[in-house]
Amino acid sequence: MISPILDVQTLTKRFGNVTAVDGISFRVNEGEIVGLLGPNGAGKTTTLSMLIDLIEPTSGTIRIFGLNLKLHREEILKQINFCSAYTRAPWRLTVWEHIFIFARIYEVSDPRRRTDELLDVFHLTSQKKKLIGDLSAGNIARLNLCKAFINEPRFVLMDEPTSSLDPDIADRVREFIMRKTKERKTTILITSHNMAEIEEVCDRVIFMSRGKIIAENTPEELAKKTKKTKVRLMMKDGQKRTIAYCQTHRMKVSATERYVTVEIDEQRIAQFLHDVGEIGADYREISIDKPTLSDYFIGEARDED
Amino acid sequence: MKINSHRVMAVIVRHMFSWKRSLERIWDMFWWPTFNLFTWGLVTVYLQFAGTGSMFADIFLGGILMWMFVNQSQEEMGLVFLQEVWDRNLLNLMSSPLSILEFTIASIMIGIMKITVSVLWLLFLAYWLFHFTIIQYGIMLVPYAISLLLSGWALGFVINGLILRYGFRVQVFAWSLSLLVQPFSAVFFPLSILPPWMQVVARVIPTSYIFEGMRKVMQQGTIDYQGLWTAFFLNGIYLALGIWFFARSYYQSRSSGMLVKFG
Repeated sequence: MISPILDVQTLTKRFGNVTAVDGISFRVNEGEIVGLLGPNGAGKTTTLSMLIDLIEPTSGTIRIFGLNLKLHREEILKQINFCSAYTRAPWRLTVWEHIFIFARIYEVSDPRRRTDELLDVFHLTSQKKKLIGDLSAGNIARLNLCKAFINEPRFVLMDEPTSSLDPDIADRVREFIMRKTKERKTTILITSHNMAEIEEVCDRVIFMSRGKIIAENTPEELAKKTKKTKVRLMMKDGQKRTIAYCQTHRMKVSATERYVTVEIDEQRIAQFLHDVGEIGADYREISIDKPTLSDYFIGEARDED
Repeated sequence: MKINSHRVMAVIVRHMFSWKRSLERIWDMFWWPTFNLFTWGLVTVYLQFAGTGSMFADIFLGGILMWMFVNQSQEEMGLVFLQEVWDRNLLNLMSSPLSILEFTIASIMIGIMKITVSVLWLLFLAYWLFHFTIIQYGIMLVPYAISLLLSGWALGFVINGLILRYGFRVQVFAWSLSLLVQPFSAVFFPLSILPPWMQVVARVIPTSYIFEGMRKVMQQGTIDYQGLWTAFFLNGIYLALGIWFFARSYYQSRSSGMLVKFG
């Protein structure tokens, strides 16, 4: 059996009367990219903060590389790293100075060479003498990522790492993350509100709601839990009849000018299209959108409300 | 708990990088001490002309120089911490292998460096402008200076503990807490001048023994060992209490989630 990189058991965090994280247990194996998802207030950031020893858990255990975080803080934190869209960096330091300082904090061998090397990987070499205060939001996000990989970590925790990046840079970052996991078996735990990103990079998703884990699976399997598929018809004739048919059969339907969109179980699509023909309606085009992780997320978040 | 010198050094280097582009820190190091020395130095020159004697001037200027040990060591501990909070860099540091103890040691070292620069500058200025040299009192003032550093650090621990507990609301203490202690310390005048109730309070404040002792060194050329040991004893107690309060506040800020809110 593969021993997990991260093993969380019955982790709980209470702030006064509020339970932010409620007895969650999960594991992350070596080389896995795992997404931690959930609506705002689900307990994702509190969980991440406990994993890097910024918040003291009320109860439960966190084992990283098989070691208890409480007892082996230094040994563990040397081999992991963290980046968040919400942290900044000293604005009076240059890009190079900031990364160099962290290379020294993590006791990287030959910190100067490593700093130059990593700035190059993240396309920051041209900015290396620039003060951090003068950087764009996108470059600051890249700087944060650069810091997160300075010590060649075995395990990286990322809190919305691409939230302020343009699509091109965000794509490069995702590419970098996936390459790292392949090359060095780096394990990554990531939170993001970009569902397409999570679907692209994550092997597995842990879905949290109200401090609890409510689902844990591959992005594809989670998406499948949303049974409704969207069928969109560009009507030639019989739009009103089609809408009336849907309402009679209690289907969720919406219409705009020449289009009718119906939310329907995947198995019932063939029957629906047959019935549309039976009532004398005619359509020019048809598109079928399969459910995505985003649909699952929206469904769960609305259920919570 | 292990202390890693590389990590301590990294924090010091980080602040050195920052200092060279930080006008307010340079201001802190040179301008305020210069301003104080110049203003109070001129007052003493005037009083000398009025016939108070040169010893009065020496005591006054000595007080200014020695008070800087308390003020700057306390202030620097708070400012190094606050700088990371203002820069929203604290989470980057605290999620690294750097421990809070290593960070605190780095703050103390940065404080010592800053005091050294400020004191050397003031010694030069005091001699150049007012022909005052504290060096004539030699090694006798060294233990007093060390004891003053301890007082500053004790206050620094309390301030950082308060910031960890209550956040930005109490950051003003980083500049002002030592000023609350100053009147009871009898920096520029004998303790006997204070009203009786203040003298009672001054008895439990280590800096009052230090400045009384400093005046004795300057006037009589002797060390008041009993006063000096009392100051060290009280500083030991306050330093232990300060460290305890800071450690508890750090634990509490991790428990309450306050640390994460600093960003």
